[in-house]
Amino acid sequence: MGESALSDQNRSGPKGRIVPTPSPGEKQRRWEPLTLEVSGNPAVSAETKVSPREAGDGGDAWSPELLEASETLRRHAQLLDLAHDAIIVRTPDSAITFWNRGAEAKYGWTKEEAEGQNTHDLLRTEFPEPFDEVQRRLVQDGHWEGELVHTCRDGNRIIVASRQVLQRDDKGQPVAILEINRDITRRKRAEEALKESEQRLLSIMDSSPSIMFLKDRQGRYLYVNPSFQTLCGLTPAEVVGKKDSELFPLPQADAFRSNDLNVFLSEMPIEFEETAIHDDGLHTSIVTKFPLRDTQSNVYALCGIVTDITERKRAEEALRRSEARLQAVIESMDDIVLEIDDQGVYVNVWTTNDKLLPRPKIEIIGQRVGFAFGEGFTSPILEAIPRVIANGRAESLEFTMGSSERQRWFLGRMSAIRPEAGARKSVCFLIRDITNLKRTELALRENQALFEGLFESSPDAILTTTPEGTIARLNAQTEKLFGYRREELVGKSIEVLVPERFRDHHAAHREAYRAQPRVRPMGAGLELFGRRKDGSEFPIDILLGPIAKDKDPVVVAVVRDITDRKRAEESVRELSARLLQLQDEERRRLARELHDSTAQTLSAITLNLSVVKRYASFEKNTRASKALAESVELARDAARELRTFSYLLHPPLLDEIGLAQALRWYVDGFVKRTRIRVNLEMAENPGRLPREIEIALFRIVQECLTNIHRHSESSTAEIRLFQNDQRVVLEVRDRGKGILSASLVQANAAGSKLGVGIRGMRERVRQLGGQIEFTPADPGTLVRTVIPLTRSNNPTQGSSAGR
Amino acid sequence: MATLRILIAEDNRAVREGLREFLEAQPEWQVVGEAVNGMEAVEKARELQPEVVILDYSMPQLDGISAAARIRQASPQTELLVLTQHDAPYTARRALDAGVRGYVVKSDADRDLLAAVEAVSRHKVFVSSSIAQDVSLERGRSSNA
Repeated sequence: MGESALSDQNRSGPKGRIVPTPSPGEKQRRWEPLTLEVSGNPAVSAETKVSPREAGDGGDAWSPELLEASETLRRHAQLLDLAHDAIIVRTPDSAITFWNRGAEAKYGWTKEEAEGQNTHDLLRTEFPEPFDEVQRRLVQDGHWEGELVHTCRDGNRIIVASRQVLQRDDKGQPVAILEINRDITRRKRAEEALKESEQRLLSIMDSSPSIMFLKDRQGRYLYVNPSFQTLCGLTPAEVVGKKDSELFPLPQADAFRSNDLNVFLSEMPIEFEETAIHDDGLHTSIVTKFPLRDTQSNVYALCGIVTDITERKRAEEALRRSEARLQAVIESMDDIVLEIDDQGVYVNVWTTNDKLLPRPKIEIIGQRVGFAFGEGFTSPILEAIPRVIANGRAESLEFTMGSSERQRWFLGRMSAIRPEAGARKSVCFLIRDITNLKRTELALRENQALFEGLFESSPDAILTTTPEGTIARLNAQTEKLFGYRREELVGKSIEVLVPERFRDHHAAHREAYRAQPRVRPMGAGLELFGRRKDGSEFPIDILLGPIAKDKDPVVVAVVRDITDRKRAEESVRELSARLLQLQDEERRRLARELHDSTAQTLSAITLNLSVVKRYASFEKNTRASKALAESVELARDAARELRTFSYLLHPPLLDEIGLAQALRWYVDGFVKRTRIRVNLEMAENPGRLPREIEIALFRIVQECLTNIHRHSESSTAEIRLFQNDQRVVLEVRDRGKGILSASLVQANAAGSKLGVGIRGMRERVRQLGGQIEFTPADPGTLVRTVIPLTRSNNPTQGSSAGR
Repeated sequence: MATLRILIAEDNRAVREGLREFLEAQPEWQVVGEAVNGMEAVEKARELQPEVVILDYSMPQLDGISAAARIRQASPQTELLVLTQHDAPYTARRALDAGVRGYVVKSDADRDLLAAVEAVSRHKVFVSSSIAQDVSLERGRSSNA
């Protein structure tokens, strides 16, 4: 019975039943046609003889052969006394000729009582088919087997598996029938009971709201009940015959299978918590799995009962949360209600939270006011009671209790209770612990004070306005800075503080800010001015920040007077301009000095040496001759170096013939010195520009090319110089690694620390009202300078003839 | 061979005297006059009618180029040679354009000056070897403009 199957009707129908089919082992145990080699001992078998004298009860004219055969059978059958089965030998007309001990034990008749009797009469045999049919089969096939019901001597009816074999003589005539009957009553009853039990199980399962299933040892579903469908939406027909791995995601199926195997292994019922994903989410189930046994007690399947506890889990969770909330509510209820009579005696105490009471309720009732709650409580209450009783008006009072470090605040509300006739007058006193509220209030007040202090003592003017720009608050510094009194500004538009010419713009900016409020400096990159009450203006910096409040958002403006800073910046600028100018002049002077004096002297020396060389006779002094020749060379080199140096300091060409030629000359020299190819693009005769502009542009080119040579690793550079009536533009670009972008940002920002060179360039350009930008050009960097050509810095003269 | 008469216009005394010695070391060459500025150079050229005037480029009162133009008016046969510190091809070009025949960079004087004076006296152009090539390039650039 190790293998089981469900019949088709059982798979779908509610009235199904489980019918175990015989196991292969059992098939093997079926009786083969009887050879009587029962004991497995052929020696014994060979010696067996049948005694005709002992066959039958006489009377009948049995042939000697028949008797012989009967005797042989009987003899052989004697060996079977040892067997537990009932073994009977009878004649073809059912007269018992042999009755073994098994038959004696089973049926209750002794051998002596049974032999000679008609077996069917004696045992009141009930056949599963008509007797004639049994006889016919026996004769035809030589054997018959089937289940018979016999009645024993004591009236017990037993079921036997009967195997009957016909013995024939040499002529083929039936001579005897050997009947071996095995009592299968118990087994049959067990089978019946099992069948019945399974039937019951099935009907329970079919109608159970719980989800149930049967699986065989291989994990195939043998059965699922209709509720199974509610779990996973699969009908029994879709499930039966499949394994979990065909129905569920693998990790889940593995878990199920592993649980199943545990049940098969332990052969005990086991409860598991299994989770599975269904259409509506994760389900948690308690699954009880228990083994199913066949009549041989072999576990052939398991039954699972699934209780989906998802809802329960959810409910439990909800309950847990709800309880926690309730607990929190209870714990946060700080109210105590006291009923106090006109004599100041506690008549009753209620509280939602006993922990609030300094003493148990039972101890408080009947005591006078002052008990338990302490001194602070006593007098204000005793004073209030008669008032409240007299006026009938409720009163609120605040009082503190406890020592200073553990002091707590309470708010009490006392109201009169209308007494019943004859009862004492009393009041209801509701006390609420407001310590936390008080502490918050105190902290708030402290914060407020701190804020006020900071606000008022700030060296910056601080104003708050509505999003519409109406001034709400301002500090002392605002008054001082703008020259208004506080009350003159509150309620006014912030534009009062803006110079008239900017007011329209300001209002527009304010609207834009309102749309996107965030902390930021106002008018980044612009110069901002404030307007005093007297109409005078002063430079300011403004930082804006929104303050989020539930309602009425507020904008804070922090205004700083930067007059001093501007002044300082201006003087720094003036100073640096002056320094640059001085530097230029100094360079020019040095260049002149070197060029006009030192270099000339060197030239004279060279000429003189030449003369010496010509007239002096050094034929006898080659050493002197050689030294002289070297001196001439050295003087010439020195003159050349001096010239180059002085030109770099200040190219005389710049003053004499202008920027274009000076650039050409400089670029030529640069190319020779550095081997960097330079493409210089400009008009052939661009005309003279104001001297300061020419110097500035020349210096920028000089600075840029020097940087390119030193830092960029570029093998080429491009210079473009072009101009129109309004402006002159200079672009210098390299194709090297460029200046790092971070440095670029710095270079573009005012006050950059990126080297004196770039600052110098910037300052020169700034003084001329122009702009210089450093942008990454990928590869390389583009330095673009734009200088406006205003009337004031237009050239007045072509060239200034210098020395 | 007739004497070659030369006028020196140079504001630096040391150079002036050095030049005189240097030039007069040549037989048949005679420095007939010296000027210390452009105006004087024009005056002396008009008065002395030299065959060659050696002009400094940068001089007080009147620079060498401006002086050259006037000298050519005052003394048409006189050939002009600029002796200067400037080694920029552009200045050489400018000088040549103004009618100057010779252009010698001062640091090359001991090497080039004699040949230059010799050349211009024969009405030939001479440019200092160190910048000669760049000057011809300069000419190309000028003609393109």
